[in-house]
Amino acid sequence: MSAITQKRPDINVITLTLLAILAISLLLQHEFALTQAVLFLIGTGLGITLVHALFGFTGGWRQFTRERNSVGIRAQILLLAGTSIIFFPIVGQSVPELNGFAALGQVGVSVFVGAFLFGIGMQLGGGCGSGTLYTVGWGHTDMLITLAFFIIGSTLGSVHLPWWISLPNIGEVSLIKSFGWLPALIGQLVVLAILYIIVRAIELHRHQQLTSLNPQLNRAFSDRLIFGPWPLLWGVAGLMFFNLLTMLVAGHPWSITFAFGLWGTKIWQALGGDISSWQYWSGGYPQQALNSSVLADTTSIMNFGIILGALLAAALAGKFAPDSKLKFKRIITAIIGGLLLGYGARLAFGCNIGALLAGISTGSLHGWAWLLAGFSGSILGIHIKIWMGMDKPIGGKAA
Amino acid sequence: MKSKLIMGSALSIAAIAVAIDHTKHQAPEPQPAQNQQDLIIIEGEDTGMQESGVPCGLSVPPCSL
Repeated sequence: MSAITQKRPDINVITLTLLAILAISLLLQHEFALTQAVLFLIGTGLGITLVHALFGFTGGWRQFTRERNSVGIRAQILLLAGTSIIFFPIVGQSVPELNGFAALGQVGVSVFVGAFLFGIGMQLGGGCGSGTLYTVGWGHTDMLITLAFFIIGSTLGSVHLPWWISLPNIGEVSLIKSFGWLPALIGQLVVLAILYIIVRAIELHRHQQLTSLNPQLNRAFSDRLIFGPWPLLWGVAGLMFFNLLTMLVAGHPWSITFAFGLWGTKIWQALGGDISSWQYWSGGYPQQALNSSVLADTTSIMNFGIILGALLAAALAGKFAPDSKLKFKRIITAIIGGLLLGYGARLAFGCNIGALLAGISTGSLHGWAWLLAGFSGSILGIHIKIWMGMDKPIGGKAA
Repeated sequence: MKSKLIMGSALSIAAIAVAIDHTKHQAPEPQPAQNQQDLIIIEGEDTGMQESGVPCGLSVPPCSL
């Protein structure tokens, strides 16, 4: 990270983005409520954090699988541990003034298949749930293809979901309800600590040294805070902070992919498509969201915020919309990856954010099932890219 | 420059789509209140938005994340 040279901020893009953020915030407050505007601004905070810290699950898993570099995974473990420490007491209702829902999902075939597909999609598509959004905001045009097919896949997944959830499962399992919030939290922190020690040992064994989570740069703190890049540790702190704000304002942890299915179904409806047989959208919150403005959906407005926040951060760092030539193979992987991401996320009750991060940090067992299956799928995805000639073989020099 | 044009176009199309959707689903103008008593009743009603506006906490699976 210390080798990164600072480019000049893109003043035009910064001005336009700030105006857009201001206008949307005022619109949301005028049309809905202050909470909608606040959630949108929380989304922009998440987008800025993701870009400045370059915090991604896909890259971290890829680095570890290919090079045994554990820096990304260690940051993710710290994020999971920190967020669990914050959310377990809230979900366990140990603070009477605070109410927060757990991101529960049933543990069964659906989540294992879905997360496995999502894991493959992460590596082929080039991003996870959060990664796809922030790289789109960053201006990577290939990720627009991934996002478009993420939306299509998510819509298809929502159509097939009733069948998938009828497959064998043990239902929703809340560790907090089963063991109490404190014993469950201690148990979870022990498991996370063991994972941290293992991945750290693997990196040390391979490289004889650890990649730092907090590398030093010869720049002023304020400069670095505004223009980036941030060390991964700042990214962990930022994501924890904005995730807590989301829980306090929205009443549920940060989630992303529900909105993609919603956008896809709305587009299909607008094109004259018939959704009367789509059971998922015929009741509860999904039906309510479908019959309301997209700006009324908290997940959607947070996603818009993430994209604009990422755009702002990229412009501040002077790296918005890097020119790149789209190759045929990249288009194919973006399409297949996007479809797998969307379909998988729907089956698995969320992506790396809504199921893995939110699930684990609110004590849902399906989050752990997601991690196991998702990481396995990611390893397969990495090998598919090698087989397609888009990546060098493991052991050779990384592409 | 080409990437910026593509991104600008994509964001513009998305903004137009959101505007169309929002306009389509805008709530009808509320009827003028007959008297102050009606207004108090409307304000006092529990709309249930807090509960039903949250993706998690649905009575049916999935959590919709």
